[in-house]
Amino acid sequence: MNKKLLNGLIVILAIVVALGAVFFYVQKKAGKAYRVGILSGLNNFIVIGDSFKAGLASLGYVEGKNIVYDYQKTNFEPDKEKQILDKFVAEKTDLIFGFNTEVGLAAKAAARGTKIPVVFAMAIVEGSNLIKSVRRPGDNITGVRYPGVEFALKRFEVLREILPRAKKIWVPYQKDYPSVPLELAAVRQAAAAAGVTIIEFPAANLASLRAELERRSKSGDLGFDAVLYVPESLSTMKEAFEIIAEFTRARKIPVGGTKILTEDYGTLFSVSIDAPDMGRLAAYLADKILRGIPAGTIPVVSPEPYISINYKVARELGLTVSENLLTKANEIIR
Amino acid sequence: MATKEIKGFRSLAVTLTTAFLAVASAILLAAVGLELGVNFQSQHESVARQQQLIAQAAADEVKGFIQEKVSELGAAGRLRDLAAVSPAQQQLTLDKLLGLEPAFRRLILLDKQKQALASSSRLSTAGSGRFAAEAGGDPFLNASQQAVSLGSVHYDDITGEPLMTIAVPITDIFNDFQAVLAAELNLKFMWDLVDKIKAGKTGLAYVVNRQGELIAFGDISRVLARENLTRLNTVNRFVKGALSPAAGQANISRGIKGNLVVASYVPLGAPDWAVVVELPLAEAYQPLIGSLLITLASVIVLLILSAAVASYLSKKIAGPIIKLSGAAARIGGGNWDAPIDIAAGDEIGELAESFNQMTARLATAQRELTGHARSLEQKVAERTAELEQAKTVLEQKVSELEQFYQAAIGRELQLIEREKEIDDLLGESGRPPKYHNQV
Repeated sequence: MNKKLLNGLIVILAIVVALGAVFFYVQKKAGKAYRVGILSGLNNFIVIGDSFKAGLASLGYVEGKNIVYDYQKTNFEPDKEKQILDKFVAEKTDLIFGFNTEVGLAAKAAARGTKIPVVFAMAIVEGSNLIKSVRRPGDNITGVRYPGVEFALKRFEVLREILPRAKKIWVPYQKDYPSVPLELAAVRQAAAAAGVTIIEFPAANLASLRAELERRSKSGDLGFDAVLYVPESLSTMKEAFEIIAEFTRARKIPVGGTKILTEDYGTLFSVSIDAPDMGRLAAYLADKILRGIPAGTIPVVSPEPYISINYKVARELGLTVSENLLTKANEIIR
Repeated sequence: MATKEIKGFRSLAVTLTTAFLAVASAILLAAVGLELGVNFQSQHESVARQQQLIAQAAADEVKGFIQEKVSELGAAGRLRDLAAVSPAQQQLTLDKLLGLEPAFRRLILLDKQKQALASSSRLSTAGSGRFAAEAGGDPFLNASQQAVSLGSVHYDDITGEPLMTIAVPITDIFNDFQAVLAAELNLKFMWDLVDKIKAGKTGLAYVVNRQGELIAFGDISRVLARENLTRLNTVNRFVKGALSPAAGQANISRGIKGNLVVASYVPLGAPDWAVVVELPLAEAYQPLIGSLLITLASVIVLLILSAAVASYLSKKIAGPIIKLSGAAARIGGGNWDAPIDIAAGDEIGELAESFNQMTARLATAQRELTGHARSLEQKVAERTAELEQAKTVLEQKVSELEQFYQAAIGRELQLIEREKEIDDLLGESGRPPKYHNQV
């Protein structure tokens, strides 16, 4: 065969193959549906997952069309969480979104060695080794932090503002919870300056919490004027609150810090985050990652504090909440 | 005469077509280029004007955001005569102001001696001391001189959010200075506002300070990363403090997203920031691109037409010349009898007619020459025959003479021999030779 003709045929074939490859790639990319694994580690904050999905929807991700969610829910179940996260990794999901701190840490561990990015929310980054820094988190992970130390201090200050005469404050917390030492250090310093005694109780589990309160109640006086939750896992468990409420409700001892509502009793106040806003912020980060920006280079976002005052509980306890505090509150429950 | 060497042959038709096409293309492209240049300049000026208006509107909006916060501070101070009311009232005012305005992170009321009369914080009071110290510096100094103080941008150590301290003087009924009300403004509340600024369909806006740091942009991650944008031409011009009115005008450069954009900026004055507005090049010059595409299509069509016309004209002109060339070649080959068939009523036609007349005359001359040649040849042949005949006679005579000569010589030789024999006989008889003497 003529050599020139042969060369010409080879060139034409190469062009056809290249065009075909480009066309295939474009088609594949256009038709790609991202798979996102969501793991909610807290029943109280399931709304974060919903607002995350809503946030992505507002950014152009249509469920079932260009994004598919695998939305799993647990409630302080580490083994189950690990199984779910391992499944996400095995299925090579395009992104894992997990909340709270424990889920964030577990997701980071599960995704280690893979290229799967992790977005966290409701996670305390101080002392948890979840990220390298807020500005550059590294390790293919980023998210929306929960300002643990800052909120612990603010909770103490709000409690003092409502109960200026409280001198002994009981602070139960999950034993060995990583962020607690830093939070308590800040609260201790503020309490010392205010002449307030902080009574710390690290609870290994719900049984030990009950046992401690039973021990304290034997003398008739629990030995504290108020209960303060700092940001950690025990403060998000309704069961723990119910145990505490058993002993404090009758004695009209206020409990504050985190928002837990029951039909007949609730915490006095909370300093926390606006959960829907947190999901929306996380969606914004996820969108950036899905568009190709490495997660570890995206700064961690900080939410604004969200103050709730349970005015109903305050009245039941015979407490006066100042106009000053009410005017600063984001939410007043009546 | 030496002949000139011709390097390769090129058809006259091709040469003419190329020349026609080249001239047509040059004229067409020059006209189109001129038109495009004028259109581009016109479009650029239009885009620049539009950009400047958008940038100015954006700058007014950003400035309005800051002014609004300053007004809120001032109003809080004036409504309750803040320096004169009780500490409880002062505290309540600050708390209410904090509750009403989410962009205020901390507030502090300082008396003439910079002592805190009241303070309020959205966060814990842990950082309040630092803020009080900062508010007591330049903001207090400026506000104490009855001026609104807009501080420089600084960043939260933990969150990375940009903050700015603003302060207003609190005066009494006689307008005498009594106190300073300062606020730590969280500039992230400006991000949504900046993100919503529309520049065309796909344009965007952002705010930088005099150091070139990004302080407000829709992509909050880039603000939190404290990105410095002095590498961008437009931001760099603002950072370098270009003061000419044209400094902020639209120019084509790399934008914040790395694409080519038409960018312009408007300095706010106070605070010392600039709003940069970018419009992607494709959108900015969309009308021009549309017009360019139509022009290109027209140019292609016109070039094809030009090529066709050039080809036709060149054939029209070169055809008779090619016929002449062929005729010359035939004449060169000895064919005189084929006349050139060109009916053109122009110089080429006249040339062909002259050529035909010339070949006719040449043919006649050739025929006459041939006749003469033939007659001459016949005469030469006759003469040759005569000469041949004379030659034959002559040769015969010569032959006869030669024979006679040979015979004469033979007899002479025989006589000599006899004489020798006589002499020999005389010698033998002792007498002297009669014919030849002995040596």
